Amino acid sequence: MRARERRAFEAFTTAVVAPAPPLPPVEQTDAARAFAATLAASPRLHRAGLRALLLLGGARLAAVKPLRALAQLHYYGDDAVMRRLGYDADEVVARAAAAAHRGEGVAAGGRP
Amino acid sequence: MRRLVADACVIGSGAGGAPAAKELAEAGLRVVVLEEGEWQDHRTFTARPREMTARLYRDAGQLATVGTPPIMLPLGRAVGGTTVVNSGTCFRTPDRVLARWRAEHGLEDLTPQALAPVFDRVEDTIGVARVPADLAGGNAAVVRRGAEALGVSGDFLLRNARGCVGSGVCAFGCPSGAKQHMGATYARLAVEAGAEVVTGARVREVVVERGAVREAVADGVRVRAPLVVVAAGTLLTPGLLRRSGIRSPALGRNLTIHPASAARAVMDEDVDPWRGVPQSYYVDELAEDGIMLEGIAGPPDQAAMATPGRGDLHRERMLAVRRTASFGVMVSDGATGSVREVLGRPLVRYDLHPRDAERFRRGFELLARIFFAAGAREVLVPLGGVPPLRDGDTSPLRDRVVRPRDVQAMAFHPLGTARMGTDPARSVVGSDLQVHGVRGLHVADGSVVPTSPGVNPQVTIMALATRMAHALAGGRLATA
Ligand SMILES: Cc1cc2nc3c(=O)[nH]c(=O)nc-3n(C[C@H](O)[C@H](O)[C@H](O)COP(=O)(O)OP(=O)(O)OC[C@H]3O[C@@H](n4cnc5c(N)ncnc54)[C@H](O)[C@@H]3O)c2cc1C
Ligand code: SF4
Repeated sequence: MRARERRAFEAFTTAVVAPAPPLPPVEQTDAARAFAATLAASPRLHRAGLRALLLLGGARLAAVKPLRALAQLHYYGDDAVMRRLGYDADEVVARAAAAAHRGEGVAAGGRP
Repeated sequence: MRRLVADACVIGSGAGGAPAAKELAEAGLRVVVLEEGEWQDHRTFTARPREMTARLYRDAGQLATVGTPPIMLPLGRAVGGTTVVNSGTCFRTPDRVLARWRAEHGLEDLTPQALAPVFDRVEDTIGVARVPADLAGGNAAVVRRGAEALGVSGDFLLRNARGCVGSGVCAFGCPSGAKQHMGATYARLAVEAGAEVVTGARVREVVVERGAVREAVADGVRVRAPLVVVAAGTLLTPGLLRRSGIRSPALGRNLTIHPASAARAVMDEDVDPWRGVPQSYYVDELAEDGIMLEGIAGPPDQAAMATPGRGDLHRERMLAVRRTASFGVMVSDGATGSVREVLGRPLVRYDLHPRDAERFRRGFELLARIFFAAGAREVLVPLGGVPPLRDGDTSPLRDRVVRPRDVQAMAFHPLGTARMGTDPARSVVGSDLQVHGVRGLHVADGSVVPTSPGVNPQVTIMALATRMAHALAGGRLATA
């Protein structure tokens, strides 16, 4: 994502999630980096459309539900934000790994 | 271009393809599976929905219907297909649904008695068991408490998990390896029985000559086989069949999606909705009317998308997310949708029927009463024009006419676009799942399911694929 697109995404996300203490400003989260990863996994047409919309529409896009959902997903998916709300992904993974190690889940991982 | 020769080629490795491959391979056939996705190792799953959606879902989960209202329709792409990201809920096809298939689609041999051993075999293979109360989580505890207070019918769900620790992220890749999805069970068993699984192989076309199937052509590999089983899923199978020259009036039509929506309830106590099995409890009080209530929950980023509002209001609601329960309403819909391919991608047309919008209203009214009976302070229902419900008052919902455009829904169970039946004018495959008039070309995925079963469909799909494979392999079920 180019710097201009990143700034546009952050401004739009700020309008949608209105961060205020105890939640951090959008720029202090990894929302933009994660959004870039989502864009990379999106179909080409969506990717181009999302980029153009962000640059042209700015904060006005907060009225559009699917775009709002993307901003919410990417902001609230930041590890520190999730921990602040009570969810610790690392702890979940560690607990799952311990269970797998004990052999409780029988599914083997990956390619046989 | 790699060239392979097999007795059977299976396209797709989800709930339909993987069981077909395993059963055919165990019967001694040389089987090649062509799968567009990759094997997924649960040890690399991160319990972060935002990240895992981009990795495990087709098009980063951005597939949606065109119609009123627009509805997100996510699909998985991996060895194991959508089962890698599903919630693991297991229902047999209800008897009343089988009766309808016999009466309206001529599927005389689909009786509960004939299917019972097939269901047994599937459930054995994927470890189906009821969720124990201690793993069901706070979300289910709220709804169970409310349902019991009202005397409403409900129970813990049956699921395909072994050694589940309730990490709450089934829809984003189970990090403990507990969920017995197709990539962890049937696809591996197929390989053990000698099948070859070629990944990263998107099938472009199935070649049919003189009324019989000849080969499947994918990126970088061709498989010549007298038997081809198409199991690319309800939204992708019709495009593949059309590209292969199959013409049927029913192809791509009769789509049902089992639309789903969820209400949220703010409680006094911590619910921690991400702890425990997210879909662990159901309420079937209205099942005869095509309305099912089932758990749905997840980490904060997933909850954020389902939380109504924006700006300060949304933030305040998110700060209460630990105390917020959420539960889904699913509606058994009529066959109103269709799918066709545009620029190589599925275009899904679907309009919610006004009758189904009314079903959502009824489902939410019951759910709101359940939440209030469990002590909810406020209930948020995602129906346009319905204000937050407070003080146990559900009258704003009771008195309202809900139109399709008022409903905010998602859907997880697309079915029916190559449905089975005896009449070639109304169906694409026969009860043996062979495409009418094309020798050796079979379909075994959600697309063959003739009407919405009204329950989560993975076990139905697995059972139909298993039954087909046994018939093709010449007979009775091998002993498990
Ligand atoms: C979030 C979510 C939760 C769900 N929860 C439940 C649940 O709890 N219980 C339940 O019963 N159901 C659930 N479902 C639905 C269930 O998982 C699906 O109904 C089922 O997996 C469909 O099986 P299928 O074989 O039709 O397709 P899929 O499982 O989608 O498999 C199709 C496979 O074909 C591959 N493919 C597609 N095109 C090609 C091609 N051209 N070449 C090669 N490969 C191709 C795809 O990559 C995919 O792997 C859920 C679905 C979702 C999205
Ligand atoms: S609740 Fe957690 S451990 Fe259990 S199946 Fe789902 S993701 Fe796996």
